[in-house]
Amino acid sequence: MKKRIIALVASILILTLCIILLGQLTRPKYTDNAEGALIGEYYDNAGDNDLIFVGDCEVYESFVPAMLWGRYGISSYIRGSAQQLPWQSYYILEETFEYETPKAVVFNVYSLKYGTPQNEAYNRMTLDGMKWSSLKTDAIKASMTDEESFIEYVIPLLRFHSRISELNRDDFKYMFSSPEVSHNGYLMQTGVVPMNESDSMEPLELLDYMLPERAMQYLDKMRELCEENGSELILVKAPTNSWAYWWYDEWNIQIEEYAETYDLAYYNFIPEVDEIGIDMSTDTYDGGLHLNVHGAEKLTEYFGRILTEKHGFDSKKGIDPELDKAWNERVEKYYDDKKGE
Amino acid sequence: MKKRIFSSLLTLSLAVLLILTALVGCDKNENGTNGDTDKAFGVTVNGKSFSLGDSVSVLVDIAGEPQSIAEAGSCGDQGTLKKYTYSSMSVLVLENDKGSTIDYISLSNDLVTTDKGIRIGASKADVTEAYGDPNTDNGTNIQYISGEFALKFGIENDKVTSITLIRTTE
Repeated sequence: MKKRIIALVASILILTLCIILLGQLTRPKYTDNAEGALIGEYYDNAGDNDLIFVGDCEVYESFVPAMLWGRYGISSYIRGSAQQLPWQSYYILEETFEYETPKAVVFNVYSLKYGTPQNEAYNRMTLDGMKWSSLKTDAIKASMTDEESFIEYVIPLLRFHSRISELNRDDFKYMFSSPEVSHNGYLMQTGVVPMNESDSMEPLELLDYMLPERAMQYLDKMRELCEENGSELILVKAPTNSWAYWWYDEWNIQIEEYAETYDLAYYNFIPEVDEIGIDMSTDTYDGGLHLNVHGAEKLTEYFGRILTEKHGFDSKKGIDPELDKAWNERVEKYYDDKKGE
Repeated sequence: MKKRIFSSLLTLSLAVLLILTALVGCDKNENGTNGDTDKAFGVTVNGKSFSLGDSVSVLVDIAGEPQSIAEAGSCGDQGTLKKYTYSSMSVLVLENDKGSTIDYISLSNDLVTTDKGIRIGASKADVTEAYGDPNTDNGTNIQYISGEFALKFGIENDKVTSITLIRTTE
């Protein structure tokens, strides 16, 4: 009888192990699509950050933490991901506060246009990288589209088993760990694809120009979370604005009013493009949708000055030798990678 | 004893294989076929109609090649937005691994009509006669919603000044 129980337990353990291993093997590794690997990289860099960015691609393509440290002595991390929805930003921020309490949090407002779950692929790029906790559970539940099921997040094999027939070398190589793709959450793009006339044409008409109520509720929750933790919430809109991803005046007015109501700083960088020095013929890698490294450095220089002059950020250089050492290594790696690309 | 353990492990392996086989058999439909039952609004060009959600090949078959195509990628490499510009309309197409579908149509003059014959310049009464009571009417816009599909008429002085068809999922 005892032997049977042992055999049964062993069988269950082996089956569980098989499911876990196959799940690890078949899950996407994002080696050809680095955006999916960003969220998971935070945990090795958590702590000691005075500034945390949350939001969509406009944060991880627009601000350079290595430069914020190099020029201003501000330690920062970008917890951004592709099409990161407001409720995802909220749960990621709540999770961040479990690791550290930054002086300020920067949220890029473009994602407030979304009021409903959008797309499984984008959900996965944000949620799969989060460590398991009740916050990840809540984030998944808030994000799932009708076609998704919670169990597929718990047991990746259920979702990705069809990849068994298309596994490649990277799936084995990065079964348990992935290569680092970002510089403290910044995803470097060195290419240049100028914005042309058609990229700046008239935006699409919308059904409704009110930002969705659900999105604004999560902005409320982020604001309250920052208040509870004594962190300043700073709202920004990256300087990019193309017909496909337009920041409408009607939305801007709503955010301006929101910021005024709650005494928050809001920086819409779109009208500041010339003052920042951004040239859309050289500073974008995809025709004006996102900044390349040259544009991101210009914006970071500009924003770093705002942070020091208006938000009380002092340089932390020369205070903690360990921090200096860690950041010097990051800055060196950033410039090495920039030179090498 | 060893024989029994071997037998158990063999049974377990077969069970795993069976589960995996079953899983492979229950693949999600990723071909992008549209199982929607919502009514997709459409437009009529040269006597032929196409609708939101149709593939781009239907558009080109009916309306011909556009005057220009503007492209925009997406973060996370999740497809490309293409704006097909014709003399009488603009059509937005989302291209991704599921196919190329029409997500947005905006009419720019009265040469193209909706699939119920409404064109720019028609009266508001013509619209409500063709489509019934709108879902929303704020005086300057009236909208009809059918699931993820929407049809919006801009109204000025009781006349239709703009017609836009929008698929609301992104």
